[in-house]
Amino acid sequence: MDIIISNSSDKPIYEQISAQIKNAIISGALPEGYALPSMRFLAKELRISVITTKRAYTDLEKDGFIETVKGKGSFVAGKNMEIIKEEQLRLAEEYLQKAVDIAKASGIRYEELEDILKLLYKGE
Amino acid sequence: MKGLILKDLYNLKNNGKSIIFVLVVFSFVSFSQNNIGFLIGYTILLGSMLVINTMSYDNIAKWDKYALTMPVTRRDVVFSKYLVSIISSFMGAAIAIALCFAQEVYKNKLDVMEILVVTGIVLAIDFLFISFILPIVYKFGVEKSRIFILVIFIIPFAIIMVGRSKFAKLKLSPLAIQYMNIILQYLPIILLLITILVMAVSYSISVKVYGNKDM
Amino acid sequence: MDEAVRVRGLNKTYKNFSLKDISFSVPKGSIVGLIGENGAGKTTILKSILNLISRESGEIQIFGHDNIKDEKYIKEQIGVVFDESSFHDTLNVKNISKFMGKIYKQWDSNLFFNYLDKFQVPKNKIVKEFSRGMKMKLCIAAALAHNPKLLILDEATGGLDPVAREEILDIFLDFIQDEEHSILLSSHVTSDLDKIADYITFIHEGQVVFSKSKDDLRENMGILKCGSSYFNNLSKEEFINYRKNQFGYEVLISDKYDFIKKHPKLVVDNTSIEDVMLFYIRGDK
Repeated sequence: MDIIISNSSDKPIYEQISAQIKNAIISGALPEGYALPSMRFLAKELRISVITTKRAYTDLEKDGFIETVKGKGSFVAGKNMEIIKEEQLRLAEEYLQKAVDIAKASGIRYEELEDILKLLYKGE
Repeated sequence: MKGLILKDLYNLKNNGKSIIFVLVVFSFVSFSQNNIGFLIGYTILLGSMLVINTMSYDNIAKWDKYALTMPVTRRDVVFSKYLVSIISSFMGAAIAIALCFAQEVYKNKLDVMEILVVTGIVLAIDFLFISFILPIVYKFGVEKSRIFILVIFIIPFAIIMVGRSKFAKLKLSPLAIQYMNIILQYLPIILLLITILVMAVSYSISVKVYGNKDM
Repeated sequence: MDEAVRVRGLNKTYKNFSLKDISFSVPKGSIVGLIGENGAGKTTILKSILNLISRESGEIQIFGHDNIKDEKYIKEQIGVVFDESSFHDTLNVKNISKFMGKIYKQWDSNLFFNYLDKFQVPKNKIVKEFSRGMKMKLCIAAALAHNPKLLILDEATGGLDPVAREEILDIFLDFIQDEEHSILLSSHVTSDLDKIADYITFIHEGQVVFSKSKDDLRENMGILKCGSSYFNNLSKEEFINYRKNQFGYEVLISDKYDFIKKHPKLVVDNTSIEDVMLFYIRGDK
């Protein structure tokens, strides 16, 4: 499992970690039941504070992506596809909203925007 | 505390070459004179002064600060120094006796009793000497104490020298001689008791001084 | 007992300097960094914790025990490293293992020599012949070899080259893998603390300026660079303090994300522990 963090990103490090683990779970790279590295081990390898990794794992657990068993560690939770799909839908909507805002602010017509979307989704 | 003593012994061993050199020189000097008192005196004195050397080494290494972060009390540290001084004095005594034996056998003048008696007396004097020196070193540090050490060293020497000559000139009545003999019989025990007492007092003083020191 | 070290109301007076009301904790399983200028009082605090010096008042507990009453019990479980080697020049590592073994009940000479091998500390040379890095590694090996639960280090990484420093930081991170273990270290090499600390306690002129988590420091705080017009429009609650130069202002912001939301056009950079320290010491309010 690769986790790459950047000190110069505008996202806090714990968010970068939880985002990357989230994506890996959603894409199926980390299957259900997969044992995540311990918070301390991750902190050591990435050379960051264990408070950061703890926060990332806590957020992931809150969002239902992982389960932490005391004394055993953290594991990828059984995928609740509904929750995940809902989450991703929300994200997509967020980005589309941004595109719409830009289009409206610079006078791009709806039809132009739709063409771009078709291109991106279905390919050339 | 065993560990502290071991540490001092290692340091002494590692710095032993200069000490042995001095010892060899003194052996030759005393051999040329006919004075075993001189040899015994210096050898045991050397032995007891080694503890001052260990304190100097400790200073240079800033050892005490470190030692007190270990499960070692300040009493332990002080006690270990007293033990080291006793151990090294006895080591000096053993070497002195051996050297005197060798000398006297060579000159065919072996007097075991004399060697042992002189050794005993010098040991006692040395323990008294240490008892005065150690609290001073704890109070003022090794460097500043060197003058004190010189002064205190000269005093017993002077007493013995003066006492010897005066004693030889005394004419004693038979009663006085009788009393003297009784005293002389019990001298070893008296000396031992005095030495133990003085050392104990010295130890308490050292512990008090060391206990209040900020590291 | 979830605090490895607990200091409350520590006061110590010297002729020209005093510690005033020092209070902070080392939570179990964490690495706490003490930062501050030379002479700020970091070493004095550590010496008080270790009962190397007396104090006028204050409560100090280690592993939940009073640091004076249970001194011997506590010290079996602490490993200490100072900024210079404390071993005599003429000793070699075999000597050291022998007498340390008689001082600590839990001294493990195999563990000691394993660490020495791992750190590549020579077994047949005497301490005098060691480089500074080797001396520090020797002291760290000695500190770890009796299986302590707490490591206390006073400026132990200063004067080391970057490679040696990283090796030592890795050792600390390894040590912390066991959540019963904790580390308290003072350093003015703040970049080391940027890497490994969980919490930072900032000491200035004998007092605690703040105790924060490192993440709070590095991720929530930020530095705004702007001109005087923007600066004059800021309200005092929005920033901690500022530094002025001939061409503009640098402002220390306490909540970066909040600030960006309110002032989307302004650029706020990330901070390092060193930045924060300099702002507090040399900045103006």
